[in-house]
Amino acid sequence: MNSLKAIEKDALRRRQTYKAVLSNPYVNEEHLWPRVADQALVVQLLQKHVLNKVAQLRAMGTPLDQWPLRVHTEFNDIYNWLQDAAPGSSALLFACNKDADIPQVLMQQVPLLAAVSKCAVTLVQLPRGSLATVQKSIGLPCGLLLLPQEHADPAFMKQVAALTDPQDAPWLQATEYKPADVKLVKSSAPLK
Amino acid sequence: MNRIQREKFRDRHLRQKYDLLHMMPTLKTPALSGMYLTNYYNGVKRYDLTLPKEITEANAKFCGKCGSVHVPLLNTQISITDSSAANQETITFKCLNCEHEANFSSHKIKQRAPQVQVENKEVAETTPKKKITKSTAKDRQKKRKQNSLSNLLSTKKKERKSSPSPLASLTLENFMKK
Repeated sequence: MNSLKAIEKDALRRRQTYKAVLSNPYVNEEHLWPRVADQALVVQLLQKHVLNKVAQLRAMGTPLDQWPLRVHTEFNDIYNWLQDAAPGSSALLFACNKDADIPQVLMQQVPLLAAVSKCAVTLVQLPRGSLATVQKSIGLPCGLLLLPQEHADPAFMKQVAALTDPQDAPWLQATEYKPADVKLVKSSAPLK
Repeated sequence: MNRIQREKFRDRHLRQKYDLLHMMPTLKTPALSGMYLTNYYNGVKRYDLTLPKEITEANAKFCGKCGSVHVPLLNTQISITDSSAANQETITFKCLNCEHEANFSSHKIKQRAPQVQVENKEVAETTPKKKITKSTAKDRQKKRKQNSLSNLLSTKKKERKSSPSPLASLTLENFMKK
């Protein structure tokens, strides 16, 4: 990469890439992943409230159905959960989207999956290298970890939600049916 | 039109086409999305631009058959299955508009064994670790010199001198002593 020719080639390739499409406010592809204010703190919170507990339960050899908290890590499992989730429920979805081993084709669809789901999903992107940290306690086959609200600590849920920006994808909001602004006016007419 | 105006027009033109493509899932008219996609790609080609890989990769963002934008739970079904090859898995995108299936093979993420047993850990810590020593240029040169033919011959000669010769033990005096 140090040769002048290679640098020139790289610069030419960079110039050609069309960025205006990505900075489109309607599709908003540049900010598809919501910004996390303090990623290190989020990782610490995850470690303290979820991963340590999971590691302990594994060490004790507790069967999965007796765990006090539910954690989904398989992609098909997460997909089905988000598909069948009730409208009032909420969940945290942690994604190691910056790690090298993760298939990008799949990761591209995760923000859309979170945005389209009927339940309120807080999508949290973890910093680079966090996959190895999480995998010390629990295996992540696709780099995703879903934590439903029912079994998680509410204070932890609140803290993480406060640190994460809401998802902004205007083109997906229109996919939901909205109630029409039609109102009925009660009126009476005198009998003749 | 000067250059800036031309570029502005180009941006607006392509952006509008790209927006139209993303409106298709809401309008529920998948038949139009294929036409809009080819129109958009033609525009990109005309302006001689290179799009990022996330957009242009076959079947990744747009369906390869009907051209609609993949939106999971809405018009696309995504699933992962273990493939026949070892350490591989298949990601399947099924378009619900045209039933077109696209498969992507990817490597499985290496899973680390979670730290479960403390005893094992202690055992692992007590086992001595092999030291990795880096060979320097000087060391390598020394080795090369030692392996030369003259050096090997001289070392053999030294060995012969140091070891007692087998004939020495067969002298008459030695034989008489025994």
